[in-house]
Amino acid sequence: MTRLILLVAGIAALAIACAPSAPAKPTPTVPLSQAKLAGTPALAFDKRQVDLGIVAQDQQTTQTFLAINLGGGPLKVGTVSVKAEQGCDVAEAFTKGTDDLKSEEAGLVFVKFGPHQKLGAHRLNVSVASNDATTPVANLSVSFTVAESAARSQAGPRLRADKDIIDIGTVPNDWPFYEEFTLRNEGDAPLNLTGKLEARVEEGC
Amino acid sequence: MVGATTLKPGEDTTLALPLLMGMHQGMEGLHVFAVDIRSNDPVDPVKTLRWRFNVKEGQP
Repeated sequence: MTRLILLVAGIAALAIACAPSAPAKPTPTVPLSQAKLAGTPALAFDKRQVDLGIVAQDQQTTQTFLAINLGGGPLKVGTVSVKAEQGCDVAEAFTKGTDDLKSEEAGLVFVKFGPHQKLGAHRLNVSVASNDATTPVANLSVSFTVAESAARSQAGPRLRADKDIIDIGTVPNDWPFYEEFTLRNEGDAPLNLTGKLEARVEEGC
Repeated sequence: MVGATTLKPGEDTTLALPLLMGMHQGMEGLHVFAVDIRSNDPVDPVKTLRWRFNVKEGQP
């Protein structure tokens, strides 16, 4: 499987670059916390909940959460488990770069799910264990509504994204966040991604 | 986009959108960022992906 990373360098610059390997570990600027002053680990996330809107029944999706150590001591993310609170999906979770996070370092938690057995509203609860003594198990959620898959021809190159929209709800100022979309060629011919990739603002400043 | 990216049948790639400095003060409110993915897909030559969030002043 080829895995190329297209990085939007920053919305302010609205620039995009193409790199042949995985991105460097994100190191966000985050506010000082009491745990940092105390020298203990403190786990935070870029968001607590995600709404993916409508997804097709045959769609496979991977949702990413940025796990950040806001504390002053080393943070170790432990078991990550996923449970369907609504709907009946089977999902898996895995992490990248979260074994030993120093202060202000970040890693990624991935939740992978689909295709889906049933239509309708779904909500997955993601439990993340860590050595954060204040919150040893943090809970995240992913919501979406499964709709019937549209008939899709596989003739020629066919682009499919793992989701069309990510809504992360309310976020505070100066808070880091990070998203990924997976683009897949589901056709029977090579798919060429062309033109200049730019993030544009549809709403907001 | 730097160069062209080609995916063979069954291959995938990741589009990453890091906003690690967040949204600064004065940028509160609903935001929708969109990325148009152009390709040689004959049925869907421009696919738009959206990222939506609402910025509020204060700490999490």
